Amino acid sequence: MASSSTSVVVSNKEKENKNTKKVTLKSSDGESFEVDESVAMESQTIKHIIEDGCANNEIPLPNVTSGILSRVIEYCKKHKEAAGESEPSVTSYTSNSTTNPLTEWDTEFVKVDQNTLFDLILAANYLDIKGLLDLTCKTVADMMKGKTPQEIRETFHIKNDYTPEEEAEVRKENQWAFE
Amino acid sequence: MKKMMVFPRESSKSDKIDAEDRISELPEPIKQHILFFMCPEDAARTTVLSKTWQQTWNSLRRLSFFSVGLDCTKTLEILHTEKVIIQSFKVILIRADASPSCIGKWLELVLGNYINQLLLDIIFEYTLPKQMFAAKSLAILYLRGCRLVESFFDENAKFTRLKELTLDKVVQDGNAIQELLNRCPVLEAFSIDNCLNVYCLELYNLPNLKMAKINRVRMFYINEAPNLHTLCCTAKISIIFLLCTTYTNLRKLSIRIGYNSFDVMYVPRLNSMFPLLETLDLNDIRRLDEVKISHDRLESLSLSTKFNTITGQIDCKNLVSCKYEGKTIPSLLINSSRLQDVQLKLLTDYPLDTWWFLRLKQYLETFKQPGVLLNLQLQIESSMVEINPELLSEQSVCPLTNFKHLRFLHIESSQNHRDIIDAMLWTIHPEMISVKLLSQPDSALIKVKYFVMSDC
Repeated sequence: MASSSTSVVVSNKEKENKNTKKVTLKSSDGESFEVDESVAMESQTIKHIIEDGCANNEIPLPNVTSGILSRVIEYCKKHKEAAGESEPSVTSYTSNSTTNPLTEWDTEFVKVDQNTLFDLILAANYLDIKGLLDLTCKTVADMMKGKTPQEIRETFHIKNDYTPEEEAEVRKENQWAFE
Repeated sequence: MKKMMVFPRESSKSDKIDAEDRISELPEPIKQHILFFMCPEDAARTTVLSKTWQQTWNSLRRLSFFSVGLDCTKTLEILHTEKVIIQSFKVILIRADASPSCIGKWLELVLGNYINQLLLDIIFEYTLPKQMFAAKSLAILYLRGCRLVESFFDENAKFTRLKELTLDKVVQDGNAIQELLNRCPVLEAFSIDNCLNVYCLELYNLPNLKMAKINRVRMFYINEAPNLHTLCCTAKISIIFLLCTTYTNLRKLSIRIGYNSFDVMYVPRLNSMFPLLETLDLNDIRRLDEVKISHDRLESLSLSTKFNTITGQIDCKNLVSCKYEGKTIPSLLINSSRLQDVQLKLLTDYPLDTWWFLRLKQYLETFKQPGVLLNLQLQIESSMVEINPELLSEQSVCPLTNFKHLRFLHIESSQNHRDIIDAMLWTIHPEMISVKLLSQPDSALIKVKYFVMSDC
């Protein structure tokens, strides 16, 4: 395997030559995507399927449409490249991402409409890609930040099913948060 | 791959009404995941969005965490990843256990877990970090052995949820403790003890404060505390109430003050300043020799003094229980038809003679209320006790029977044990006698006890 003393570029090249194993991912609407196995293994779900030997030729992903799947693959590719190691990359979004060199790229990546964003969340959840799930959830959290409840409801089309009395009661319970 | 073009959805009016609430449809674990990226206030506010969101907040696992002398960093990190709300974080540490930066890391982690209750018991001095004062979700805070720095308190930073605050052995830089107190608008209970160099503490603008225990400060001001229910205070110099205020809700007042002005200034105004007072404890009375306590609702009164002989009158028609502790037999007349329980504790360190016992009996006889039961604790430090049994039998007519418990705390002169107990039995017949025996039990003593019991 690639020795740790070689530079990143060399090890990548080595990998491309060595690890050209590819898998095919099939979206719910029948489109097939061929990707490097290492990139596909960013998804723990896919990783388990491959390791269990159930891969055959194609891995069907009935919960993911082609549009979303292509984006997910884009994410995995980008993050795999940046990590440059043989293990799946682990990006942490919990701290201020001064350690994450892909911050800018990630920010652009999630500049999508709400529907796409939620589709990405569900896909990241189904495919078990921690980095993508964290990124998308944090994006939603940021969208809710600093807004009043009414503003949040409008942004996400949340229906308020409280009666005025019930709502007052709930506010009272967590009064400290509404000061 | 080429970058995808992004066309944000145009939302027209009809779109809005039909628009799907996709966020609430997300699986619960994902909604919880989103909550944990928010700060505590934002996350708690989501409860008001809709019932689904309230459900999500309530379904977060809550945990209480208690650590003695261990490094909790790893565990806390795991808990954060698993989205567990740390309701209560209690840490007891001694010097060798953890460095300040380590503790800082834990605080950072628990503050990000919506902590409700924080207890830090740190034997060495640990300066609390500034970020702690941004912990909006804290409801209960207990600090022991920590250091508070005045400059950490932001102008606007407030503990909007803090209900209970306890400070024990806390060291302050500047006036940090007062600054902290000023920033707890919803505080309900406050307790401070053993904090050095707290010269002056002031309670104002605490509309929810119900209970305050202030120990070992020099001076203590109570300006505004309209809901104060219970106040226990020991102050070296003085405690100052606003004279023209009525503390309408104060039910229990327990005071021990060094250079007392309380007795002189406030006792005469008890009824007007503290109309609903039910319990009054005046400990260590120094300046008031003549006590005149008059109150319509007082039910329980406790007086203690180390020096003076207390004389006076207690006009409290609803008084049920009265306690007195002092060196000498008091001369206190209690005017209450509801009196049921009287406890006297006499710590004598002067020579006693027969007349003393007779005077004691005389005083005990003043409690004529029907149904009243007396309790006496007697400590006899002096070894000079002279009792003349003949004189006793002459003077003493009927022993008191409304006596529940006679307890001898200490009798210095061991030879006189019998005589003393004998003398007491001329005056009273209690239901129960307790004696602390330092030497071998005396058969004569046991005889005496038996005599009393068979009398009933």
